[in-house]
Amino acid sequence: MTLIAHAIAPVPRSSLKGGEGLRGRPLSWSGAGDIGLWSTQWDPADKLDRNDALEHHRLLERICAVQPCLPVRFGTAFASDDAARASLAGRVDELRAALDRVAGKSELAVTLLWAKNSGASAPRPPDPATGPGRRFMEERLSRHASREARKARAAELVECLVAELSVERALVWHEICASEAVAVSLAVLIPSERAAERKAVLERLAGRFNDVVGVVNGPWPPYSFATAESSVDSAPRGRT
Amino acid sequence: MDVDPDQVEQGLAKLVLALVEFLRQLLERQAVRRMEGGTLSDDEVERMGLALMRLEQKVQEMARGFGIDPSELNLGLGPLGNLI
Repeated sequence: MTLIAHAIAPVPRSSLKGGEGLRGRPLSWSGAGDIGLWSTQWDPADKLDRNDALEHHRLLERICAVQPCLPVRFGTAFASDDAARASLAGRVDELRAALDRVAGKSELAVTLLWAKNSGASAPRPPDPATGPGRRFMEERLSRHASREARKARAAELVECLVAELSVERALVWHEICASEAVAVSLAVLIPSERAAERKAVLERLAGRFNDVVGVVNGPWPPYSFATAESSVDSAPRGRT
Repeated sequence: MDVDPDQVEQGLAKLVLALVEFLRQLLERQAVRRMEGGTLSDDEVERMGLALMRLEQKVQEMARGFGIDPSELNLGLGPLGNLI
């Protein structure tokens, strides 16, 4: 019997013990010091499917509703209770700090998609007098310039969102220009009781940008903040 | 661990072609910078452009030969993002 992991949490004070995990199977607790791991007892012969992924999300919402938790990536498995404990044992302090960061908070996710033709200038018609090599290089020059301009604009958009949110920068994660269509992916931790209000603020703000289309999702468990980091600086975390 | 022996060749080809494409793009960026900086003669720009264009075409052709969509020639580096 293996364990399919769901979330790292402080020692449970709640009624989750004895509860049900995936497919109605017992929810299991593997403790290490004053933290531990919620998981489902699982027969390795059973394949996980899409419904299990959705159930994992619902379980995380249940756990997060009653105690701080760090979601574990769906499908993470441990061979035994001892293996689960061992995975936590050397990181208890880091994980406790990460749990303190997410306590009482929910995640809102903002995705800004480039509006059609935003920032894209029409390519210059090729000069018939130039050779194919130079035309190739000029096209690439124009493509690189356009990409750099988009990156700069995406960074500006992140600054606007962060300024509007007025939260500690350590509570914001972002990534810019992760794909052709996406300008900004941003996640923010918000006190759970203010999540609906902040979501409305973000939706209004995203609607004011002309060159992107905004989508705001959540609140949901702190998926983007599940990594334990020993130090948190004051800069917004993310990739640019 | 699930390993499909039939996919090994394609997986290896994808890894090698992704690295080649990564190096090609590095060369391309360097060439574009030098062109912008005016340190390449017209003849050098033309020859560099032709070489990079043909290399790109060749990589794409080889990818299709292995049943790989050229847009998939990238490697996920976990928290660091994608290679390209």
